[in-house]
Amino acid sequence: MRRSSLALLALAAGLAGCATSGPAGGAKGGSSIPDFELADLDGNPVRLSDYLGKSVVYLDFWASWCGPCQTELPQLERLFEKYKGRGLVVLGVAMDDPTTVGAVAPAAHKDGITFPVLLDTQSRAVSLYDGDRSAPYGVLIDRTGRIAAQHGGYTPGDERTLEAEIQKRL
Amino acid sequence: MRWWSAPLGALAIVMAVPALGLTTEIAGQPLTLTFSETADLAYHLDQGVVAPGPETPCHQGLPGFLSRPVRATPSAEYDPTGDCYADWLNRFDAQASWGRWHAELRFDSALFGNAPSVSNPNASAENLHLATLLENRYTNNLIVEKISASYLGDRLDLTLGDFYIAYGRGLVLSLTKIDALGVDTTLRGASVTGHFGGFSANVAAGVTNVVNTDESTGEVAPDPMDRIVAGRLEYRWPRVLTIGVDGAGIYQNPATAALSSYTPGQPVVQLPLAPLALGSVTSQPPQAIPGGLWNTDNGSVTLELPRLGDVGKLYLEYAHQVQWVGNELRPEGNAFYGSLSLFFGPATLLIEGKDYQNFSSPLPPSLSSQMFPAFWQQNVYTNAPTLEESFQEEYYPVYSIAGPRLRVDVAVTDWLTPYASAAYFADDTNGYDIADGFLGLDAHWQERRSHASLAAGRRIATFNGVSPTPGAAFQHEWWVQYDLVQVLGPVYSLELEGLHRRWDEDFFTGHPWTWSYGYLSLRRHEWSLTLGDEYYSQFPSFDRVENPNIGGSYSPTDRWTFRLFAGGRTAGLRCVNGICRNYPGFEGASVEVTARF
Repeated sequence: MRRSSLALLALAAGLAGCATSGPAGGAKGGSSIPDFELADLDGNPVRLSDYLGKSVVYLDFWASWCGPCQTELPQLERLFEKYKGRGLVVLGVAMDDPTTVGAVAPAAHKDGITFPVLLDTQSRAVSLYDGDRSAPYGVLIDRTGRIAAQHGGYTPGDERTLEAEIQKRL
Repeated sequence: MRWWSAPLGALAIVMAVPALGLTTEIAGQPLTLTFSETADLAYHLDQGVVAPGPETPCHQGLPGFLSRPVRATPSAEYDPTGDCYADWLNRFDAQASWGRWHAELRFDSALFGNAPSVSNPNASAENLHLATLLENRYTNNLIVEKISASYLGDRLDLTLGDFYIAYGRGLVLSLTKIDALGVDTTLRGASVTGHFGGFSANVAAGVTNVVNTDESTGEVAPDPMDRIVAGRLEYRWPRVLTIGVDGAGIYQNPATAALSSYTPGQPVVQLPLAPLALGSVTSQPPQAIPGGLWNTDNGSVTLELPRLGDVGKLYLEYAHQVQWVGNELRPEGNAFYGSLSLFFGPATLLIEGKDYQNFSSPLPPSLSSQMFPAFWQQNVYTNAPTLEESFQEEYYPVYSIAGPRLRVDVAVTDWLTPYASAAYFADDTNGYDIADGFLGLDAHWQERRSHASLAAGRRIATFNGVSPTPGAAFQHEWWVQYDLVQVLGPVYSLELEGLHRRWDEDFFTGHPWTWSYGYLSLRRHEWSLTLGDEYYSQFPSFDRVENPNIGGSYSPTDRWTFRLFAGGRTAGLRCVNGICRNYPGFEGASVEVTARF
């Protein structure tokens, strides 16, 4: 094997050696996961770091044109209603680009969504957490500000797995 | 270092790291590194050209369902250049977060095996034809595809490197990622946003950066590096209004526009695919630019009322365009787009309208349509809303088109929502009027875990008075779209989804034809198994051509996803919200592995 390949494998081994959970602290809420600020449907600026360290946060990346997302949204609303008193925050990040973003508010209204829906027409949050633009794509962030779980797609029954993950973190 | 060492190293790192993210501490701040690796390996049997020729040798001995019947008559359109090759397209993305800072570095690479080539292009007319079809395809490459560093402050956001950017509804500027079309276009430069109370201002400038390898054809293209300077000033009064002023200057890169198809055996130049790349494109020496460069200045004002007395939302945008083609100033363009959403109890109303006059959109890159056919159509810089269904074809750029659209959804019970949509557009550019309507219903049961969505529509495009043949059919189409999900116990579900489209009148083909697909899936949280069929009536014989396929996915953990596909996919023009591209067919098998860590 060439020296360059050996060097890369050595780097891999080195990274594996330091692949442990480091200390929390530093940024808001003791988290160093990437932050973003987006406007919600009412034009209010919402920043992820405002919730980190205080709440369990579930980021749901969805789009108005995505069928499975529309199926999952009511399930997330149910979980939000059930656990918001215990510190669960759900942020629905709409991945719609400028051509379809007009359909986001009607879609959220039809499904009776009460958690904040954020508009990400410039793919700011999507490129940080869901680079492949899977939809739906969920990221669960625990109270220490670390990513506890992430999952792409939605299959009926996934909400049970997610609920168990949320209960563990609350 | 060999170019292939990077993906190999990336794979080794993925295999080695056991935890989700790496965290360490620098200067009292946690530094988190996250990585994702996507390896897509495929074997392409047949790209399903329009006029197939005799079977190529790699088809011999394969099971019948994978090989096409032999066509006896070779054609001038015979194109085996998409057959019988393997590729490994790899994407390795590294991100680092430290306090308010974030950095990203993404390597894309492409490696081709058994790629077709022509050893002596000038030996015959057929060889020359095939060599021309192989122009700038199957070039192994390794590229720093995205590189950026950003800072998110309380009053100032800064990004250096690659970033997506879109203003308003995309009339002025829209550089986005559209996975269904293989589009991932960013501006490489700098973006600065300042926030002062309710005001914010953004200024951005840079050159355009596209994904350089087309996964469906193996074609490569350089970054257009068209120049964009843009800005937006916005005032936001939460829950009351947002007003903004946008501007963007979009200027084609003369060096990219000068690239043109070469004749095998004649003098050529090699140019790098991107500023940070191993791999090149081949072109003629620089030529005069036919028609001249396109330079465009767009500006718009936007108004949004997020709450209309708690019963709706209103958005209005007016855009103005000044465009030069070479030394010629085109008639100035104007565009108006508006949307009004109203919520009355169980009813949701969406009214949209557009009036685009001499307004050029989408704006194309400087990549030649002749030389880079797999790239020029979809890597665009603006995209005005079409108000049509997302799959609807848009054959030509928009210049002058106007009309409204209305959609009503009414929740008649807590489990059943019928809806209806109607639209009418007068297209004075292409000389036809479009009447488009559909009816549908959404139903759900079993605590909303099972659902059915059914819709059926009719779209009639008829030549109008602007055309020489008013009243004649341009295209008359009907379609049915369905998505049914039935849960089977606590964790299993069965899904049937598809789209059936039938053109009973078509100006292009002069004959009715069909283009459809249907997929049946059995799913569980960790895995899915899918059987599908894509079928169409093939021009010019209009025989029904079936492309059966089978696929599946498996995600043993959050970090890993494996996807398998075997069988066929139909060729055709594929569109997503007004951005379209021609896709070749596919027969073969592919494996995609995605890891996040």
